[in-house]
Amino acid sequence: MKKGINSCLFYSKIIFLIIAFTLTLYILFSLNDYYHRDVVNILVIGIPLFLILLFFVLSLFKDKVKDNILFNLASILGIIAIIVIDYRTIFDSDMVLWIDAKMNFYYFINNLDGIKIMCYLILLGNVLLFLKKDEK
Amino acid sequence: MKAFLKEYTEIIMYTICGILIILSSYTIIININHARYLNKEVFVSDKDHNLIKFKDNIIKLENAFNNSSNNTYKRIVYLMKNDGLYKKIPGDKLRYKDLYFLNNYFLDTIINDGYISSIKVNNQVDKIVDKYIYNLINNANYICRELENNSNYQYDVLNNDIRDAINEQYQMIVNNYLQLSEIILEMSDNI
Repeated sequence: MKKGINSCLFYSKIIFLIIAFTLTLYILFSLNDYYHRDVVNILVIGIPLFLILLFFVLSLFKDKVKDNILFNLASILGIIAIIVIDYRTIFDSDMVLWIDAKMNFYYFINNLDGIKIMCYLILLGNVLLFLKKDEK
Repeated sequence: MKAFLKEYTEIIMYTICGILIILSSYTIIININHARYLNKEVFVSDKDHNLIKFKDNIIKLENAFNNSSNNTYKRIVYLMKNDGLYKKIPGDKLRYKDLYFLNNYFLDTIINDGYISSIKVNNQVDKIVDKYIYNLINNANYICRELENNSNYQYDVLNNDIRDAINEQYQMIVNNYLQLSEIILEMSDNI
């Protein structure tokens, strides 16, 4: 039962991360296009997201990393929070600043720090999980 | 370093998971609440005397300029009647973004298109009238900023009651429309 829930959490975590990764990059590219910003801004959030994806794929081959139910749950919640922010940025037409660009960049920029914190926390947790298991 | 990691990895992991769970749950809940808040339709006051007065003024203005050849004034009356607040009725149901449309219509179309690029450019406008209009523009800009902030910063908004917030902003917008119609009415007397 516990194993079933855990593998369900683990695989949905990867699916959610791919969705979050795609949406976030789409918003960042649109943001750069709209404001003619530097590409470096994409890397700040793009690299941690890519590293998280890489770690998740690597943990496919490490059962002990894969089986940490608490970390799986925490990462899923973090990724869902990122998806909620991305979703509102792209689709929430009730926010008045959405009307200008058909995407609310101001809201996304306001929440960018939150997204960064969640990304770095998930990444750090993953690294620690790998380190911990390697030392045993 | 290795010994430290060996000793505390588990504790750090639990702390990270705890922070992540609290932070993400808070973000999800507050965003869902904020989306519901902005999507809510609220009944505005059904005894809206200012709105009725505004509509009366528009009818008076229409009658005044009906046979006139003064197209600059005709245009602003047309703009005020065509869309915006004139289409609303007392006790209507409004959402946050409806207020934004009303206010932007007032600012961009009626003031910029109707008053500034039509009346002000083609007629000599009294300095006092210009000052009144300037005040109206300031009010509209203030409302616009408030609406933008409330729709973007979800953390400040949720403590306020949506009904009060919409009704308060709506009354300010109606007041702006009413004052403008009164100014134009006064100007029409002097033509």
